[in-house]
Parts: sequence; C-alpha cells; structure tokens
Amino acid sequence: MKKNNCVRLRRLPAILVASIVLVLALGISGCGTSASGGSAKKAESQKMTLVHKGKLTVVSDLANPPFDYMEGQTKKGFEVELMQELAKKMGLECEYLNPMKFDSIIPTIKQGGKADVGASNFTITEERQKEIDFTNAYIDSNQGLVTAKGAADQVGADTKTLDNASSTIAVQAGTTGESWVKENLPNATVVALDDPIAALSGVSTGLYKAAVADLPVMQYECKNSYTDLAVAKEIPTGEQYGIVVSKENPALTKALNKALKQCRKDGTLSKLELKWFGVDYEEKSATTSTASVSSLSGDAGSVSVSKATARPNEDGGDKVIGGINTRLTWEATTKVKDGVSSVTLKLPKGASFDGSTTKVTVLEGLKRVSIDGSAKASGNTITVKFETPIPTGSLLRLEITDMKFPSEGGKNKVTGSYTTAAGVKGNLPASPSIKTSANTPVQQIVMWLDGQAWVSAWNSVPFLNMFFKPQLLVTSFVSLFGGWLLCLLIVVVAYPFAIALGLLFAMMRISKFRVLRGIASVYINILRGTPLFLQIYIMFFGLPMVGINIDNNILGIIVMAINSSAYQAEIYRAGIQSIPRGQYEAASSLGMNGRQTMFTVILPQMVRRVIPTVTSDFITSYKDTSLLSSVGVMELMMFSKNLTTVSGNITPYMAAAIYYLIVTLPLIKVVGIVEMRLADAENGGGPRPGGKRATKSAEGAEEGEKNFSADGKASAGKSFSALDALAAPFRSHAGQEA
Amino acid sequence: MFGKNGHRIDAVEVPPAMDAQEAARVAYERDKNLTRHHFKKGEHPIVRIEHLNKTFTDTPVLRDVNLDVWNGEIVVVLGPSGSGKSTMLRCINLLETPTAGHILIEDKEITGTKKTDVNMLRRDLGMVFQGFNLFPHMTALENVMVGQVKVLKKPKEEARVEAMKQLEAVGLADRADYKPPQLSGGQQQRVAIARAVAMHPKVILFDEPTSALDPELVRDVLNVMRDLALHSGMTMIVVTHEMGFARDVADRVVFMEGGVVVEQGLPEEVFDHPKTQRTKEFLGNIR
Repeated sequence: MKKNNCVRLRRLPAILVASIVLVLALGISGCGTSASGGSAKKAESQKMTLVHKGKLTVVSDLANPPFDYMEGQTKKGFEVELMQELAKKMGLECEYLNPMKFDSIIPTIKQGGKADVGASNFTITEERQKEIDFTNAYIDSNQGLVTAKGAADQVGADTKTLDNASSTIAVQAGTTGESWVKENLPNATVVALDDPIAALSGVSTGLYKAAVADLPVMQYECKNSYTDLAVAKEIPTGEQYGIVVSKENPALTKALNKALKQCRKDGTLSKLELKWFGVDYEEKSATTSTASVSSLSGDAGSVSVSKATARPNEDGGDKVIGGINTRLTWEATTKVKDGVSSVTLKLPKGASFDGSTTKVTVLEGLKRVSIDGSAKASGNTITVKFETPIPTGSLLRLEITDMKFPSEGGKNKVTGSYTTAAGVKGNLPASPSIKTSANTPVQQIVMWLDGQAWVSAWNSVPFLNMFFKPQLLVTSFVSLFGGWLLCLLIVVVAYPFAIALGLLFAMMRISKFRVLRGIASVYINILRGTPLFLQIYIMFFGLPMVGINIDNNILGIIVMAINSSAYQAEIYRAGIQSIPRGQYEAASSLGMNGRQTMFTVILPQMVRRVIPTVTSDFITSYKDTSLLSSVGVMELMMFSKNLTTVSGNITPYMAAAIYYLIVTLPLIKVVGIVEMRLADAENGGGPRPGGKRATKSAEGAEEGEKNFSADGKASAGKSFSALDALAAPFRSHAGQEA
Repeated sequence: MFGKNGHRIDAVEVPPAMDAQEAARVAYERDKNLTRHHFKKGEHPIVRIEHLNKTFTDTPVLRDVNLDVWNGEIVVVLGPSGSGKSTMLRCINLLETPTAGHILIEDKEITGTKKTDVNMLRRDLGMVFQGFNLFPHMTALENVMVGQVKVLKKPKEEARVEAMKQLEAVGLADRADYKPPQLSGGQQQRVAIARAVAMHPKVILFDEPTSALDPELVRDVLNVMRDLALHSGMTMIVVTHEMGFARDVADRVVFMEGGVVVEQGLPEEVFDHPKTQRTKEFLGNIR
C-alpha cells in the first residue's frame, strides 16, 4: 500500500509539469496568432474577417420575443429580420447559430472563430465596450419592472416597496436590468437568471416578486403569454441596443454601421419596428431635437434631483470604494421653462472628476432626446454644458465615468448649481447620499497586481488573460466564497436527510409488502429517470403554484436531498442485497429476529461496503448544486456566472472550478483509501497469526462479497453505482440458487 | 422478509404426526441396535423427522425421510453430493421450509410454526456452516457474544465471560480480538463452533464443517468437534465426508442417497459390513 502511494506521489509532479507545458503551449500559440493578427490588422485594416466566407454568422440567445426568439425550429423576431436586412445590404448571407446563453455571447464574440456578431438586445455599456465593440444603436429601449397584476399598482406607485430582503427580484444575468436593481433596490434579493422568460415564469408562479428586463420584451410577453402579469413600472434608462462585434474586426463594425444607416434611410428600420412593435420609433426620435426655445422668461424654475448612485467598483463585490475610478449616475427632473443650459455638480472634497467622461441622456417620458453636451472638470466639480437647452419636464441623466470619490469613504451628497438658457442660476438640491468605503484589502491586492510587470505580461497572452487573469482570480475567490459556503451548506444539510430517506426507501424496496415495494420503486425510478434540472424546475416553479412558499435555499436543500435519496436507496439496496445469504442464515440460526439481523449484522456490513459509492454520490450531489443557479439560488455557479457576464472573462469559472476541487479532490482520495482498505480487509489483509497469509479465507461463501468489492472499485460515479444497483438483484438470485 | 418463501408445495400424502408415546416406542425399537446411545427407560427422541419431503421447484430433494435423534447422541450423516443430507439438516432448523412431513423437537411439532416461534426454536438449535458465516465486522469475541446478548438478553459481562470460555475451549482465546478476515479458515470455523456452543443449544447441527478448509486445517476443527462430542454431552448431527471422524466419534452413521436414508447403523457395521450395494460403492470410492 505504501509503495503504491509513493509511486502515485512521484507521478504527480510529472502530471503537473505536463499540464503546465500544455498550458504554455496553448498560451504561446495564442500569443502567436494575436501577434500576427495585430500586424495583419495594420496591413489590411479595411478588410473585415468573417468566420464563414460570404456569411454573416450571428449568435443570439433567441429568448427575447419580439426581438429574437424561436418558434419551433424557426428563428423569428425584429432583430433576426434586421440582421437579415443588414446582411443583404452587405452582400452577405445571414446565418444564425443555435441559441447560446446570454452570458456566453460576449466571450464567444471576443474569442472569435464561432460567430461574427452577437445580437441579443445588447445594451451599449462602457463595461461591455471594454471587451468588445458595438455598432451604432439600432433601437432605443428602456427597462420594465413586471409583477403580478394585483401587485402592479402598488409597486408602480413606489418601487421602494420592493427594497427589502424578502423581495426576490429576477433579472437576466449581466443585463442593465440587473444593474438597475442592484443600484436602485440594494436591499432586495437579486436572482440572476439566464433568460427573461424563466424570470417571468418565476413571477407568474410566485417564486419571485418581480422581474426586471427589457421593456419591449416585457410588454410583449405580458400581452401575449403571461397575461396574469403586468408591467408595473417603466424604468426610463434611455439605453440603446447595439450589435456586438469583436474588437479585432473594426472593418465589420464599420460595414454594419454603414448598412444600419442605409436601413434607417430607406425606411427598412421603420418598417420592421412597425411590424414588430406597432410603433415607429424612428419617427419619434426625428421629432425630438426640436426643443423649441421661444421666449426666455428668466425664471430659474426648479430641478428636482431624483437619484444619485455610484457603480460598485469593488472587483467582484458590491461596494463603492473611494479613491478608485467609478461611475456616478445622477438624475434629475427639470422644471425650468427656459430650459437648462448647463449643470455643475459638486462632490465633497477629495472627490475628483479629473479625466472623466460624461454621458448625457435626456428623456421625455420614455423617449430619448438626443442632446449632446461638453463637460469640464476641475477637482471635485464638473460642469456640463448642453448644446441645446434641456426642455422642461424632461429627465436628465448624467453618467460620469472614471471619476473618483474621496478615498477615505463615507457618505457623499451631490450638490451644485444649474444655469438656465436665460442665464439665470439656480442651486441644485442635495442628492440622496452615496455611501462609499475606504479601500479594501482585496482591492489593494488587485491594484498591486495591476502595477506588476509580470501580470501585464501574463495578461498579454490571450489564453491566460481569458482563463487565468490574476486580478480577477483574486476578486473571484473573495466574491465566490459566499456561494461556495452555500453549496457546502446545501449539500451538507441535505445529505443526512438523503441518507435517512435513502435507507427508508431501500428498506421499502426489499420489503415483503408489495405496496411498499411499489411505492419505493415508483419513487426511485421517477427520480432516477428524470434529470435533476427538471426536478429543480418543477419544485421551484411548481410548489409556489400550489401555495407552498419556501425559502429558495431550503427548497434547494429539499430538492438535493430528494434527488440524492433515490440514488442512495439503490446504493443501499444493492449493498444490503450484496451481503451473502450465509450472514442471514448465521444470524437466524442464533435465533435473531429480522430486526436484530438487519441492525446488528446486515446494516453494519452494508455501511462499510457503500462508503465509497456513497462518497461518490456525495461528490456528485455537491457538484449538482450548480444546477440550482438556474432558478436563482445564490450558489457558486451563480456568482461566477454573474462575474463572467460583468467582466466578459472566463476566470471566475476557473475560480469556481478550484472551489469545487477543494472539496472533491480530498474526497476522491478518501474514496480511494477506503476502497483499498475494504479490498484489503476482504482479501484478509492486516495482522496475521504466525505471519501466514490465508488467501483462501472465507472462500466460496463470500462470492458475493468479492463481486461487490470489484464493482465498488469501478464505481467512480453515479452511472457505475446505478449499474451496480441494477446488477445486484441478479447477483443475489444467483447466490440463492447456488 | 428475506424472500425464502414461494416454493411450490407439492401434494405429498403424509400421515399426521404419530402420538409421542407411540413414536418413542417405535423409534426405540428401530434404533436400539443401530446406535451406541445408551437409552434410558421411556426416553423420547430429541429430534424426530417423520415422512420429510422437500422439493425445490420441480426437483424432489428429500423423499420420505424418517430419522430420530436421541438426547446426547452423535449422528453423522454421510452420502454423496446431492443426496439431500444438507437439505435435511437445514430443514431441522427451518432454514429450509419442508414441503411436507413432520419435524418435532422434544415432541413439539415445528413445521408450520409462526415466525416468532421459529426464532425461539432456533435458539435451541445451533448451527455450524460450511462457509463459517462469521460476522466479518465483529471480532471473534463479539461474534461469540452477539447471540447471547441480543437473543438471550444476557448482560454483556456475563456474555463476555461465557464467550471467552468457549473461545478457550476451541483454543482461540488469544485470537479473541481478531476479526474473521484476519483468521485462517480453520480458526474461523472454530470460532463459529464456539459461537454456536455459547448459546447452549440442545442440538448442534454441523453442515459439512470441514469441506471448505485446507487439509492441514481440518484436523484442528475435527479435534474441537471430537472434544465437544466426548465431553459436552450435547446432541450433534454432523453432515460430513470425514470418514475417520464418523468412525471414531459417531454413535450412529446415517447413509443418505437420492433424498432417502439408504442405510443407518453403528459406525463399524456401516463401514465394515455395509448392507446395500450403494453404500458399498460410496465407501469404496471414498477409500
């Protein structure tokens, strides 16, 4: 045994070296292509690259009716037709790939090789622009907050009624809707799902209180499918959708923009909008820019500040840290007859607007008005001058990126002043305060890493950057920790129940009462015969429908326990039936009754035998908790998915992998050791009188025992244990006939 | 619970069990010259088998077996493989359910008894198996103790003392804390004998106790059995192929073949002057 271990240990470094070599090889090859790509870019900067010649390959999640969706096998929607039109204009054929998860579209485009563009209601944001390029916007949009019809009015009147921990709000992972909820309802429980339809299903069944997603999608769904739901509030975000293109392919972006312009000019876009939304948005936006300034009254009017928030800039966390760049979002409604021509914002001392960029959004109702502005920063104040005065009654939003809050942290209020078109000055009321914190250790590590030469060298290799970005790895570890604990908690709490239930059903399965046997086999077969994913969906969406409302985490524990119990019932049944008949006979001949036999003779032996298989099942269950992320349990995968959608980088998944392995690798090792011990015990290892090794001990009668240990060795996973379980009855019959 | 039922019962015509007094008289008349047993006046057989039939699905294994065993008697059952001798033994403590016929322990009919009564009955019938069937998760000592504690409800200390006594008797006191897989086959079988004896049963049934053993280990086990036979006064029914043991120790030898008792008698009679051709052939082959 010891020798074996030595061999294994010696082999381990070899494996490590091999994998490092592999990683390096991949990295170098990646490096090579990127370098050549760089030089090629210069040479033929005007030529766009396509994955398939003559084809515009589009990837989308196809889950946002009426933008993009599947009807049976056909891909339909506004966006789908738009992409076809654009391709036509570019002289290309448009080809849609099969639907992909929303959070994986940007990484797919970034990596290249699979699709040329991504079109799936992508709101143009700076975060995303860091990873990929956007074309010009093809449509303006807003977000919609959906609740059950009955609750819509109350929530619509005041969204803050949702701002408490007991409100679960479903959003689509990595969307502007998610950021809106995180910024505006910080106390609510946010559940990030893969597609908006799942979010609506959840609201419909009562699993979630509300859902936030793209307004057109929500409106369409509430009208056509989820008639029991209603859009409680239209959230004016003034966002715009663009098509995602790789940064490596600027020529394609250019070509798409050109085609988009043509579509706008020749009325194709209007036609499509009319067809799919019943509204021609183009017409509206055409009328907006005539913000007529007739007669100046000289009245200062008033400006009410509705919001001031900062984007969390703690990597992987949700804190706003002072002293590092973040984005300030400031919103106000103007009631100034003459129109506002400039706004000056002021933050407490220590804050800095130097080097920031400002985005101006003006909304009249839900309609976006295009007004440009120029910003001038000086220390803790910034002045934004607008090209045309902002008409009265409109919502003004300033998003100031790359600004800094005072580094010591604290509560910050935005104050300042404004100037009307008539040159009258007015003071801005103080905004709600923004809470910021001093720097965190994690952030310090990240900043230190940012400054390291080796880190930048490492990150210049695309593969390493995509999968093992050091900064992101550090922050992922920190922010995934909670999810990891929840995974462990779920499986650790679920397991005792699974064991108890499993034993119960195993006993029922071998009971002499036909009814009990029947019940047990129905239970076991249904649970083993359907995917866990399906069971999770049924439990999470089904139970609230019948009026049972349980906390998501507890529900997760219940589902895991029930699912695992079916597998364990079979493991235990096989274990019990693998105990040789002679054991029962020996117990009987001593006069033991059935219960005594079971508890003093059979079960203790069974337990020893099933330990490896049950441990394997435990490993499987632990990994399977990842499926709970699909219904919004905040476990490991959920956190890493969110981080990936925000960062467009795969590294958080790698961190998750490490978290899984921390638990599974030692357990796998334990299984190996236990199996070896078992095998040794059954072959008669251990201390031996007189040093003699009676290899033939317990031969014949222990036939079944040997079979089981052989199977046990093979049973690394559930499939094997299932086979084992299936084989057991035959084995035991054979034993009886012998 | 353990799925042993379900055998088809063939309609075998069997007369009702004889009256105890009458049966004892008939048995005495039949057995008095066949055994070295010293009959006491008015003694009744401790185990009485009348018209025992056993059929596995469609194969008859025992056909009208009649046998009486007297208190303290050592009966060795011989016969070729498949002659039904093990099945007969297993019928006695109802590990096999007889298809038809009567088995009486101390004049009490046991065939057709309820499950709880079967457990009570089995306390009085120790059994030693060909495959030992020790409980592998318990030490030798625990193996010998478990029946006393669980079934006889003896206090643990008392059971331990008794268990140590029995292990000593089979020469394995120094192996008390070993688990079965750490013991040789012969040692395991001796522990199994200690386990059976510790229950102080009225009868011990030995089902080919040495067949699974290496030849050099057989002697130890036979010595223990011989010791038991000579000194304990316990009734023993031994199914074995050990002719030497049968000749030395048995009060009576029973020869079975084809599910029928072909011949029985004093060991020297059966071995030296077998009455039937079949017995002659069998003994000839063995020797």
